[in-house]
Amino acid sequence: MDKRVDLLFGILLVALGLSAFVLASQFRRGTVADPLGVAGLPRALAVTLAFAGAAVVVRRLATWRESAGWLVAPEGASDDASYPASAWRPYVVIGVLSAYVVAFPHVGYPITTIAFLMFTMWLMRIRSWWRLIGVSVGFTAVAFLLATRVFHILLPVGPLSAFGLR
Amino acid sequence: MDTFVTTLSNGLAMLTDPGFVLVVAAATLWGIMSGSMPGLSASLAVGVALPFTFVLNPVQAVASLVAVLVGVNYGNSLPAVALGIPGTPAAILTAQEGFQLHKNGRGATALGVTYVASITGQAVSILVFIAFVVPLAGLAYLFLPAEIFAMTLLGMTAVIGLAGRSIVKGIAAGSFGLLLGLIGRDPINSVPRFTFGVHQLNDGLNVIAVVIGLLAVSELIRSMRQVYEWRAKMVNVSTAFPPLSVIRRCLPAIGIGTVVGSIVGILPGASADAAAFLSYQQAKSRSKTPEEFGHGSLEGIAANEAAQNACQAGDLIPTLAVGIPGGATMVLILAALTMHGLIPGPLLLRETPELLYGSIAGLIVATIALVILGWPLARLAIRVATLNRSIVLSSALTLVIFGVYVLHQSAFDVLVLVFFSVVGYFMIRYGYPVAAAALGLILGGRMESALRQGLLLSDSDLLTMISRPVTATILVIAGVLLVYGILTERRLRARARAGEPVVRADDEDLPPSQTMINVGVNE
Repeated sequence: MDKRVDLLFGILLVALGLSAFVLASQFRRGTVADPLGVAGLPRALAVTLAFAGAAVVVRRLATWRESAGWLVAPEGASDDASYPASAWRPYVVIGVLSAYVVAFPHVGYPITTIAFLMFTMWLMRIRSWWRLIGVSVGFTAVAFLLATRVFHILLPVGPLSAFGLR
Repeated sequence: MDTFVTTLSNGLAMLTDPGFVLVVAAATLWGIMSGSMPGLSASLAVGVALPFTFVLNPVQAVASLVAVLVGVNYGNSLPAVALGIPGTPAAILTAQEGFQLHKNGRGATALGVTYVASITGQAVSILVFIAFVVPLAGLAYLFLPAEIFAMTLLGMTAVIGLAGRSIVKGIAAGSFGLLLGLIGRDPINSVPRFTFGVHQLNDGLNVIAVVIGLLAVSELIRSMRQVYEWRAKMVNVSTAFPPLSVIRRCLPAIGIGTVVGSIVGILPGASADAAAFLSYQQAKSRSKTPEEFGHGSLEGIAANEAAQNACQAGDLIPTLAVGIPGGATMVLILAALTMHGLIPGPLLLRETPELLYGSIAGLIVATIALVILGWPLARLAIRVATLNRSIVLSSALTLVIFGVYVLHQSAFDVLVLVFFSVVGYFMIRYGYPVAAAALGLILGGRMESALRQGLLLSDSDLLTMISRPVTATILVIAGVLLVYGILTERRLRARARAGEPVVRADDEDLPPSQTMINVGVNE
């Protein structure tokens, strides 16, 4: 893993802990008195988080020179060594996922889900058009029917409502 | 003995409900199929199913999720034997032994031993489950707020100390999760905390959305880093059942695996992977033919399979009896309980005894489903393993989002899911245990309530509160687990500096082939 990113996460944790402490200190006091109060445990946890983040930062800095270059032994889950890994694909997936979730209530479930599935499979190197379209449309149709006809859940359909789809 | 028989009878009585049996059998089937797909972990299989259990009652929901795990622990061995690729890390040693046997034309024998060992381990563990969970739940009257606080702390330290690789990062993840659990209104004064004026946060975060994001979707995103197929490895597999004399030879190994798996499963933080490795080593040390181990040993397969399946019920004991999950999959079960308005903890089974009977019934139905479906479906499950992985991952991602949306028809919940899946992705990549964060979310509110009530009852004296005998005992155990985790981490770091393999045997996060490469087996 990249030790710069690991260091950055440690710093972020310290910042998160300190921010949580400040926010907790601004909580309104309640009318019922108790020894810990509204902010007691939040502040204790915020301090713990900040200290843990600081420990990550200190440990990373203390071992900075142990490895040349930016990469160090992974501390989390690493990729399967037998196959090449793409560093950018997860970020594209996250971006597309976010766009899907934002567009979903406005453009409707059928259109956004078909588009999302097609793009995600294409990203994962599916290049056969009949598969891209077949799986996307089939999956979306089954899920839509399950939700609306079996579970009686309303799903947004966006512009397809003009065609009588409910 | 009376209580044991009564509990078992009540569990069996639930089998008269055909709807219950159908739901659990379907869940077992899902478990077998998803377990046989390498890359879909047990957490993912449960995570995908979890939102859909909302339409069930709490008993059916928990029983079906337990059945998914039973199915996964059997299904993961099928591609292990036929393709040399374990469905989940717990089947690594089965892959090592079974695939050798398959290449030597004895694949059906290996599958047969897998089938018998899985069912035996599963069946015996149900009795162990009843034997331990009933007395443990009976101690619930000992648990006042101080003890409940200590138990939540024990749960957190167990996950941090036993299941994580870095204690410091585990503490960070746990603290982060506990803070998430405090979002919403203060339980005593109703003061909004960390809501930032967002009204959807007044009742706190949607536990299901956060937990599934942290544990399941993050894993899906991580899996999408790599694209590969196993179709090229597909070979014809015979499923002619082996002769009984072969199975009889493996009975001692099955016994060892069942005992080890049941005991290890009870320990919070210890997973099926650890049980499988331990029982394998034990079976090898007691075998008359230890030289076969590593080169196609049926006893090795038997011990491995019996252990990982026996571990299942053992995991449930601390989860249901005292609210301490054994690992990520048990955290998901706790999330399911929370989703249905139940409060995990020492009082759960006393207040909702039908949950215990439902869990027993779920385990029994799942085991029976394995007996009936496990062998005939072996071929189909192996074919499922060669489904296009890219399609499976993309569909699973869409299915999970769909499932979380249908819970409350809330786009906000889906946004929360996506946000925490991103957080979870980076946590997984950089060594922060997501299970600790997820557990913290579930336990945060309860920990705070118990702490504040305990202090009130102890006249605001923390020392008085924690020096109660049961409280102090639990806190000492929590301390021991934390120290054990620190010492283990130091040992692993020292080995890393010396250039030795440093993967923990219970590492659920690594992809199966990575763990095989790094761990190896002592010969």
